[in-house]
Amino acid sequence: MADGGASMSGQIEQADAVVEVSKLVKVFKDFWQRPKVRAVVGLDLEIRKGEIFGLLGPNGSGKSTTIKILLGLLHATSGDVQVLGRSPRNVETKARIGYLPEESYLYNYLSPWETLDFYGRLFDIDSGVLKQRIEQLLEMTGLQHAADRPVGEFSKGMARRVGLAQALINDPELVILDEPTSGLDPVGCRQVKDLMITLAKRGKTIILSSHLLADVEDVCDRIAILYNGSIRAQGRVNQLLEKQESVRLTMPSLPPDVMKKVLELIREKVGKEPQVDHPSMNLEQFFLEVVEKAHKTASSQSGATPTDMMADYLK
Amino acid sequence: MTRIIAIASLQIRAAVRSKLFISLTAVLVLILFGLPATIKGDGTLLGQMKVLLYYTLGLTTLVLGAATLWTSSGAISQEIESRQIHLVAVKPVHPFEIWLGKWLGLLFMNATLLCFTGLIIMGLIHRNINGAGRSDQERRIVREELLAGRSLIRPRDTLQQEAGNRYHTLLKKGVISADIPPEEALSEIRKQLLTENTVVPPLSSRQWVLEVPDNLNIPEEGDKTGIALKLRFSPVRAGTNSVSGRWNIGTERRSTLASMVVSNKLDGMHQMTIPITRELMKEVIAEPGRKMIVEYRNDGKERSRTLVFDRISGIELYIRESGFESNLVRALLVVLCRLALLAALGLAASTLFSSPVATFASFSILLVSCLTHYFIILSEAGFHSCCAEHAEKASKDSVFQTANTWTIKKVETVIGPVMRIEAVGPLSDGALVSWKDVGKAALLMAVFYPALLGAAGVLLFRRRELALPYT
Repeated sequence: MADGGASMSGQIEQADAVVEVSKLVKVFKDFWQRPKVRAVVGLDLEIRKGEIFGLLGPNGSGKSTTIKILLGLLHATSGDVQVLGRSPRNVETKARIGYLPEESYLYNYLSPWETLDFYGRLFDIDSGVLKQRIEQLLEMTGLQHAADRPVGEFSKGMARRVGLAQALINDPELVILDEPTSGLDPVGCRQVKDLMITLAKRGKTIILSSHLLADVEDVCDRIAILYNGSIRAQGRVNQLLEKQESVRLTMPSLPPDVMKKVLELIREKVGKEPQVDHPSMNLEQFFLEVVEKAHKTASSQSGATPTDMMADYLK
Repeated sequence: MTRIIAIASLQIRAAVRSKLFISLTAVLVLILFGLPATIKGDGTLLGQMKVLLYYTLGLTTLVLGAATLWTSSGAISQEIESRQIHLVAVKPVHPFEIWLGKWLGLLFMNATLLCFTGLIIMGLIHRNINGAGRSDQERRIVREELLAGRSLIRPRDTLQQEAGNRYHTLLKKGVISADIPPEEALSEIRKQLLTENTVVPPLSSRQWVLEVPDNLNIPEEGDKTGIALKLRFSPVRAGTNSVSGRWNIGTERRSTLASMVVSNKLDGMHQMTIPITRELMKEVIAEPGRKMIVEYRNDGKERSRTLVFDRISGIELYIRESGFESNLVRALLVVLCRLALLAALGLAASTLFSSPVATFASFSILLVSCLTHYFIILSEAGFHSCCAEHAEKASKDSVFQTANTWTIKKVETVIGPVMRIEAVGPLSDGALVSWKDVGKAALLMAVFYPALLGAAGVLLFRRRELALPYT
């Protein structure tokens, strides 16, 4: 995780398991109950409270199937699945989960306000609290100016923002995000990533499924890489990616003669040619700076408004 | 409850914003204003009003029924197909709440449209009655005969029983040979009895027994047309036929509490109304058995012809029990219950099948139910044997026929009680749609059967994997 730190990692390792999956098998059958596809094969998984867990894998590797089993939308063929200590189909378990599907399956005729109100009422949230949350979520997702427009008129990115808002309406303990940044502009992507980090700091558990490896690398504590329905690699992101045989040293620019001496010393002691370059800002950071400057000078816009605001109840 | 209301509101919003509600309202306006303008009835105000009530309300029920079945058949299946259900099913919502919410949403939509229909019908009736070009006599007839909720008492139909008894007697006496198939003999006896029971030749008489129920409300003192006998008969030959006879109305102990002489020249079917006083009615009610005996003596004077009474509605006792407005409300409530049952049927199919298959399945079930009931009505009208022993002897059916008959009877056991509750027909005849009818309709069509269908739907919904790749 970007600004997690060793102490946070230690806490996570000692925390309770929020998701426990053991020997999970899912076989899709045809009309005559003949096995058609083995989507998940003997999957074991444990996700702990407060961590951001990345599920990676190529298309058809079993990520979405696993997520849908965790949500009770599919039934496991065999194996044991426990979410927040209970069956994923338990109604009380569902009250503590937020879910953003890979596509925002929203009702096109509802406005963002009505959408959030509808899903909020399914959680039986007090109407006063619900109203406050809707206002905060609309502001957080930059949709307050489009709160009364039907979702059917929205771009994919704007609909995605509504989808994200509905996933958070119940202040969930476990947030399952399937491709959360798909369709979002870089500002939205950054915002979602910051949101995940903030939620994790509050002790929320996040399961992230994404093909955007940079996003996963940015935010996840641990990842599992699936292929053909089973886990091929699993562990902490920094441990999996770390190259123990190399070291990177970042320092202020050195005068040419000092630089020459340092390089000669390294060549003499290590016996290999060191690699020297200037650290650069990544494209995401550069884009965010440009947009922020433009936003300060623009009067109005029809799409989602860039905002770095976080809903109070999620902080 | 919050969740159920949320889902019901969503269903209503879907209907309103998909233009379904507006389209249905437009169709209803077209029916309510267009149909009475195109169908004129028999030219009388009464005929016009009957058309207004029967056809407009009948067609409205048909249109709303079809729309309800179609909408409910897609209510859950379309959400599964479009995967919108994923976001609902992962929330803490029990499948029962989803089902009930959708059902209540459809019920509310239908209730609103029926209220609208009722108000328009009331407005049209008042406009037509108070419109120019109609005599006071016509208006009075409409008020007395149509704009009322009247209980209808008919003589008990004992034809099957009488036929059975006569068959046994004739068989014992040897008049009927044992070789003659019982069905054939019974059919002949029934025809003979029909003639005897409905025909009154000159110098003969015929009696009818009307059993007055004990929960009857006798109309107020001032309501002179509150109780009346309605008679439908025709002379045996058309042309210059005279009718001369006496009607006696009484009880088993006192046969002539009221008497009336009839002498007229008739042509074709004749309808006659005899007002019954409150005093006479009280006398009937005071008698053990509460039987009103009505007798017609064809005196044969002035070459009076044989009279043929209508078998079903030859003699009817009408008792005004309520005004039209409350009768209309009760009739609309029965229609609403019927729509509630259709919504439950569509929703149950919707949990199991895809949207087009669910629509096809629910319409098929409705069609089969209607046809089965129709066959049963036909068989009750005289196409079945009157007692079990005759049925056994009647014929040796094939296995297929036996299975078919068994299935039809079983289906009728389920649907019969529902199909027999009528509202539009009685309302347009000025007959009472009682609160008992409404209660029965509510219990069967809005509680019992929907609960069964709902339980089946919820069970299927719980077992169904909502995110299967092919759903």
